[in-house]
Amino acid sequence: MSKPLLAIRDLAVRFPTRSETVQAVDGVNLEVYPGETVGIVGESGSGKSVTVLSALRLLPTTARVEISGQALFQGRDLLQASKRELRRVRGRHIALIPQDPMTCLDPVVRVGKQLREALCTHAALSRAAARRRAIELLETVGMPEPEQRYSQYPYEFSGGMRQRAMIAMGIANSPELLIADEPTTALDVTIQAQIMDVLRAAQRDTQAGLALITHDLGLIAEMADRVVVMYAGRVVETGDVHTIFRAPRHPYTYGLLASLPQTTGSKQQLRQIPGNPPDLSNVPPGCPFHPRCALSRGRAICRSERPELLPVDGAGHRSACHFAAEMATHAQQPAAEQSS
Amino acid sequence: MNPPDESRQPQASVAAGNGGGMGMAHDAGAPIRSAGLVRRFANNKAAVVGLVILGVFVFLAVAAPLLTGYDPTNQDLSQAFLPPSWQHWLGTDNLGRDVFARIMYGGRYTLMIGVIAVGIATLIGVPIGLASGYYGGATDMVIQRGADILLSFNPFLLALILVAALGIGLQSVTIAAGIGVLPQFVRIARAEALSIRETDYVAAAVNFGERSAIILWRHVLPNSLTPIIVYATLNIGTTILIAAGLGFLGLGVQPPTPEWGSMLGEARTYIFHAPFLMTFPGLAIFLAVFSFNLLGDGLRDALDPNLRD
Amino acid sequence: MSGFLAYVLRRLLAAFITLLGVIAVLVFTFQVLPGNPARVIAGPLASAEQVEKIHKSMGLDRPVVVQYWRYLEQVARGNLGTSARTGNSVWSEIASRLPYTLALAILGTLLGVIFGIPLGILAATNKDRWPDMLGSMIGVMGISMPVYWTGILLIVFFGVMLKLLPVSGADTLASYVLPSVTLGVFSMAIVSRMTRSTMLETLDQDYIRTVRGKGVREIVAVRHALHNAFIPILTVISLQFGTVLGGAVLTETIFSWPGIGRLLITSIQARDFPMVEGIVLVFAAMFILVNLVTDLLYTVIDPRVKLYQ
Repeated sequence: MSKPLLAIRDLAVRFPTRSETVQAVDGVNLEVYPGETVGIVGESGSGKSVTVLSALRLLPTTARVEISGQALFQGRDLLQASKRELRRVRGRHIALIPQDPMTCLDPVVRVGKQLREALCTHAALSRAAARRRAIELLETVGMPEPEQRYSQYPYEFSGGMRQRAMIAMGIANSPELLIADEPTTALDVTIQAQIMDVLRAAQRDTQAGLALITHDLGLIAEMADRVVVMYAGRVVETGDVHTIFRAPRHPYTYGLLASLPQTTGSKQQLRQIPGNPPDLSNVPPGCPFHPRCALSRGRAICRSERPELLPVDGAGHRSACHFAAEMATHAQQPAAEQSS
Repeated sequence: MNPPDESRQPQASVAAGNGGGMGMAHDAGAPIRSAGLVRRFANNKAAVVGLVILGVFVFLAVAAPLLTGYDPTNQDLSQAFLPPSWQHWLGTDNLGRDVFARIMYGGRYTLMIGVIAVGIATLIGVPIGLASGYYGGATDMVIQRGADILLSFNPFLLALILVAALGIGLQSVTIAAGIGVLPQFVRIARAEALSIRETDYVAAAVNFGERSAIILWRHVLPNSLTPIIVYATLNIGTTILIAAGLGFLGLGVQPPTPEWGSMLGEARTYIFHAPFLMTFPGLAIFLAVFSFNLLGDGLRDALDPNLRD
Repeated sequence: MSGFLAYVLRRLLAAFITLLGVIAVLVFTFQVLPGNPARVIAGPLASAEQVEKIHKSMGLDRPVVVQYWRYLEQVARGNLGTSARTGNSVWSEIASRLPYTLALAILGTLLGVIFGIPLGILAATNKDRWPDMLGSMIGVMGISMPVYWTGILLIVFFGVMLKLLPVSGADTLASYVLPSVTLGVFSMAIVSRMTRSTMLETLDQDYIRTVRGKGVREIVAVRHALHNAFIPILTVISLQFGTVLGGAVLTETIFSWPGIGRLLITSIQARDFPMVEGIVLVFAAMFILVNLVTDLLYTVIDPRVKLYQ
C-alpha cells in the first residue's frame, strides 16, 4: 500500500456561535491515495464540504471556528503548517474546485486574469507566457473559443463554462490532489456528463488523486474507486465502490442506495429514509443515525454508545455500526446494477 | 446629519439597481423567531449597553418630577452660572435654572420628538413604499421620482426648509423631522417589497388568485417588518439629531421649554464664560443617539437570520 | 459604445427631471405655503397697499403653475431672484460664498475617506478582535455626535484652552482645520461603518475562497474583496457628501464660516425667502450632480453595469 496523499485523522470542526455550538465534523478519518478517486458522499449538512475545506483551512475567516485533529498531506500536517507553507500547497499541490460555479469567480475581474493568477502565484511566468498557458488550459477543458473567453468577464459565461474555467484553474499547476466539491450540482444534466468527462480527463492526464464530494450516488458509481459515506459529520462507512454498492454494511448507506429510483423492474413507490438528519448543534448521544434506523430496532447500545469505524469484510471495508454483521444477512441488493 | 443608511446598494440613483434592501434573507413565513432573538440580543454586549442607557434616559424623563424638586423653567438670576455641586448636580445655566432638571425634562421632548417623527415617517412612508414596490408600473415610477426628488435634499435640509416655511415650534419640528426622513423610508420599504414580491410564497398567493391588497397585508407587510423595525430604530437617532439641530439654531422648541438642542444653542453664547454649560446637553444628545444606534445595530444583528456569527 | 452613451443620456435626463421636481417643491414650499411672504418682505411698518404691490410684483397672486413656470424661466436664465434682505442678486451672494462651503465639504469628505476606509478594512479583516471592537465603537460614536457639539468641543479645546487654532472666519489656512475636522469626524464614522459592513459581506463570498484556494497571500484576497466592495462604498461616499453638506450648515454657524450654510440660516431667520429658495436649490443641484457622477463612475468600476438597460 503506497502512502496516502491526504490523510485526515480525527478531524473535528465546531462553529461556536453566540447562541449555540454547531458540531459540523465530529471525528472524521479518511485517506486519498495517489491516482485514485475517492467519492465522499452524504446529504447536505453531513459535513463533507466542511471536512475538506477545514483541511485546507479555507473556511470563511469571518466566522468563529474551532478545528482539531490532523490533515496530513504528504506527511505534513496542514492544520499546523505556517501560513507560508499552506500557501505553497494551495493551488499547487492541492487544488480545490469549489461548489457553485456561479459565485466562485470574482465578478469584476476577467476570467483570463483569474487564470493567470492561479498560474503566476506558483510560477514565475511572463504575462505573455501565462496568457498562452491559460488559453491552453481553457482548450483542455473544452472551452469553445478559448481566446475570446480569456478576455471576458464571468457574467458572460454560462454555468457549464464557468465550471470548466474552475476546473482549468484547478489543474493549472498539475496538482497531486484535486478536490472537486459538488462539481455537477449546479448544472443541467446534459452538461453534467460533459463536465465529468473533463474532470476525468484532467485527472488522467495529471495522474492526480481526486476527492469527489457529492450527494449524487450515480456520479460516485461512475467515477469513484473508493467511497466514503458521511452522516452528521462522521464517516459511517467506507470501502471500494463495488462493495459499497453491492453489499453495504451500514443502514444509512443501505437507505441511500434503496432510495435511488429504479428504472428496471416493476414500478414501486420511491423509498425514503424516514425522519430527518439531526440538528448539528444538538446531536444525541450514541449513533447519530439511530432515530431513523430500521436495523437498530431501538436497541440500547445504539442509543448510548457511539459506534467506531471498524473493519467488516476486509479489504478496506469499514462500517460504523454496532450491528454491521447483521446487515450481511440482508438479501436485497438495493441498487446493484443501477448505476451508469 | 443622519446616521448612515445601512442599505448596501446605490441610493439615489434610479437606474443603477433598485435601491437597497436591508440585505436580510426572507424566511418563508417566519418573520421573527422570538426565542433565539432575545438570546442573540442579550449576548450582544453593545446592544445591551444601548438598551440600558436608553432605559436610564426614559426613566429620567418619565420620573423627572419625582427626582428633582427644581422647576426647569424657574429662573433665579442670583444663582446663575453655578458649577456642578451637591445642590445642583450639573450646575445652573445663565438664568439660574438647574441644568440637571432641564436635561431630565428636556429628555421628554427630545425622546418624544424622535419617536413620533420616526413614527410619522414609518406610518406614511412604509405603506407608500410597499405599494410602490409591489404594484410597480406607473405608480412605482411616480412615487420613485417623488422620493428621488425629496432625497436630493439632505434630511436635515428638508426639515430646515419645512420649518422655515411652516414656522417654528414643537409641532413643526416634529413634523419636519418626520418628513425629513420620510423619503428614505419609502425607499427602504420599496426595496423590501421588490424582493418579497419575488419570493415563492407570494407567487403562490398570486396563483391562488388572492387580491393584491390582501397579499400586501398578509405577506408583504409582515415579512418586511423586521428590517423596517431596525431601520426605524436606527433613524430615531437621526430625527433626534435633526430636531436638536433645529433647536440649536433657535428654530425649534422655543424657550423657556427645555430641549437639549435649544439648550445647547443658548449655551453657545456663554461658551467662553461657562464652557461647561454646553457639555451636558450635548452629552445628553450624544448618549441618546448613541444608545439608539447601539440598539438598532443590536436588533439588526439579532434579527438577521443570515448572520453566521 | 452607443449603449453606454444612451445610458449616460438617460441618466442626465433623469437628473434633469429630478431637478425640475426639486424646483417645484421649492416653489411650492416658499411661494405658496408661507403665510404672506410679501408682508414679511415689506416689513412690519408697510401699509396694506404696499404689501399688495409687492405681492403683485413678486407674482404671488398668480396660480401655482404660472409661478412655477416663471421661476423656472428665471432660473434657466441664471437669475435666482433678489434677496429680500440685502437687495442684492441671490446668485451673487451665493457665488461669493459657495467656494468656502465646497472647500469644507470636500475637505471633510476627504478626511472621512482617508481615515474611514482603512479603519473599516481593519475592522473587517479583524472581525471580533480588538481592532474591530475599537473601530466599530469609534464608528458608532462618530455618527452619534451632533456636529455642532463636536465643533464646539473642538473650539473649546483647541481654540480656547490651547489657543492653537482660529475658531472663526476663514482668514488663514489654519482656520480651515477645525471646521474640516468637525465634518471629517462625522464623515469618517459613516464611511468606516459602511466599509466594514461591505467588506465583511464581500470577504464571505465564495470567490474569495476560490482566490485563497489558489495559494495567494492574504493581501491579494483583500484586494479582490476591496475591488468588489468599492461599488457600494462609492455609493456611501457620494451619499455622505450630501450629509456633509447638511452638516456644513451647522458647522458654518458655529465657526462663523463665510459659506452658504451660514447665509442660509441668516436668511431663514430674516425670512428672506428668495434667498433661502436659491440656496437650497444650489444644495440640491450639487447633490444631484454628485449622484450623477457617481452613477457614471459605476460603469467604470463594475463591468456588469453596462448590461443594465
